[in-house]
Amino acid sequence: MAWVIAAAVIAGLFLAIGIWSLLTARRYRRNLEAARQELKVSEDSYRYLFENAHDAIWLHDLEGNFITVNKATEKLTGYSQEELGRMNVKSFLSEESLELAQQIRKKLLNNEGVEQPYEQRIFRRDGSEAYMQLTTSLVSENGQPVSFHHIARDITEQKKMNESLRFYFKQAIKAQEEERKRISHELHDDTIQSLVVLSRQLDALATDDQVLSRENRDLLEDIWHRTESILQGLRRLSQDLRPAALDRLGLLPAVEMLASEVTKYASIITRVTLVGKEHRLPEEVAIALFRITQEALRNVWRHSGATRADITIDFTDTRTKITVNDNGKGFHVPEKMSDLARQDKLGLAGMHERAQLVGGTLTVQSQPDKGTMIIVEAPG
Amino acid sequence: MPKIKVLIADDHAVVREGTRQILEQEADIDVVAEAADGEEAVRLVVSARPDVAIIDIAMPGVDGIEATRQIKALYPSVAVLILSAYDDDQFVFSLLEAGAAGYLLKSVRGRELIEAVRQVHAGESVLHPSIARKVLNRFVPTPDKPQHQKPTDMLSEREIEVLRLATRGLSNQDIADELCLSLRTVQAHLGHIFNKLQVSSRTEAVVHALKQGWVTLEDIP
Repeated sequence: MAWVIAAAVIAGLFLAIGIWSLLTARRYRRNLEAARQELKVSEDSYRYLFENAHDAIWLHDLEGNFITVNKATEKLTGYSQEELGRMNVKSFLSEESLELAQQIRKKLLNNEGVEQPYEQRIFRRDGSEAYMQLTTSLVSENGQPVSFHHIARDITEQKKMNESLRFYFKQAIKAQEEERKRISHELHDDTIQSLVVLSRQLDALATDDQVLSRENRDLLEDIWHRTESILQGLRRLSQDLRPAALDRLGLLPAVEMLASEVTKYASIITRVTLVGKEHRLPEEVAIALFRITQEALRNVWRHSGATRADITIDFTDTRTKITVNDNGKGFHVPEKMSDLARQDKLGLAGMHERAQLVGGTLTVQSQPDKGTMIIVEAPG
Repeated sequence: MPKIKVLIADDHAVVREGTRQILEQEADIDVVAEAADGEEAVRLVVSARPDVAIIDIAMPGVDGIEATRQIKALYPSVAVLILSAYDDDQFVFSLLEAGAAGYLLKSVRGRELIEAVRQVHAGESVLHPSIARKVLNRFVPTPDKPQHQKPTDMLSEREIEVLRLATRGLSNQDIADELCLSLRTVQAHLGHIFNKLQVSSRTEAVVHALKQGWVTLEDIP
């Protein structure tokens, strides 16, 4: 009897297991189907993102042969996706760009850091140049590097616009300096000389006791004095517009003149130290360095609260470096020079731009309560 | 007594004319040449041999600074008096280095201009102490400069004393009083100093002393 019961229980158990398995398998199939479906949706949406991304995205193998490219890559290069599939990245790169690409490749393979994004220049199908800003990463499978993944943004227009802005800025600076020079010369050569003649005539009359009465001579004397003070004002104006010392004597005497003015009018003890052997610079470089020094001293005067400033002019055969160091209150320097304008440090931003226009560099070192040091260096 | 022969160089004809008129009223001054630029000035110094050359700085082509250098190189005995519209110290320094004996602004009063011509001609021009101080600051010896000459290599003790006092801005009479000498003796000492230093004026002698480091800040009031 007992075995009948045992058999029935076992049979029942098997039946239960059978039914449970059947149900589970069906559920599993259903789940698998759902997962497949989900994966497809997800893959589609990623593919959609990849295909329609505004940035060019592509994958190429370790030798540079394209594996996958998106539509934006077509637009960037001028080749169709199909054509690109048979091409190698090298065909877009100039020698210089190829060198950069190889450096990046090497660093990524060696697991070294690469500053991203970086800029690269390529040639399009029609031979025109395009600039892109791109990030590159290494793709590995089972710990083995297999390909490189790139995301690139076409910055050709932006680049052109920046270039034309810079060109425009340069022209504007040049025009401003030329205009200042012209007005300064006109004042010196015309207005001041005429006033000199007038002042001498007044002097001759005022000192001639044969013709005029004492009273009239006193009156002329007074007019002579007023003419003198007009002359002084004009000399000052002409100097401010364009210091004659810069053109006739060179950068060093012109900076010495600035220093003596700051010492005299702002009571900031300002000294100039010469390092190396002074030589004359191309006009464009001399005026840029002078204006930057002038602006640096203006900042010392207006904002720093400094009691002394030290200027060093260092001449080498190929470069000239000016350092302006003060003992004022200093400030927090932003990490990037481009953030200076945002911090309301437009003067410094302008000095930086001006240095760049003559192929030079500007460095600002400062900390609150630690003074400020401006270093400008330019070829010439 | 022979007249002081003067050359006037200025690219502005009216200013030149004005300078001539001021000087020609004086019986002891004779304007012998006028130049419109630096090159002509140098050429006329050679042909007209003036005693004093009155030179403007801003002239086309060869400017007053270069003209002064050339004139002093050709004829050290010609005294150069700068008459300029610039009033920066930097120009004064550069011109003194180039060998000018005096520096005046163009709008200077007529009488002062006449006096200055007579003074530079007599080697009498006095460098104002405040200018001397600035010139000295400019010539502070730097380590990489070659060793200076010693004053005793070139001048006698007495001559050095006279030169020191001249640097302080003292007139010949004041120097004579200070050293208990006659005016004549002082003039003779200065003449010897000029000869030995190969300069033609007091200003140049003083600049030379400053450049060589023979005079220190303590010597200048």
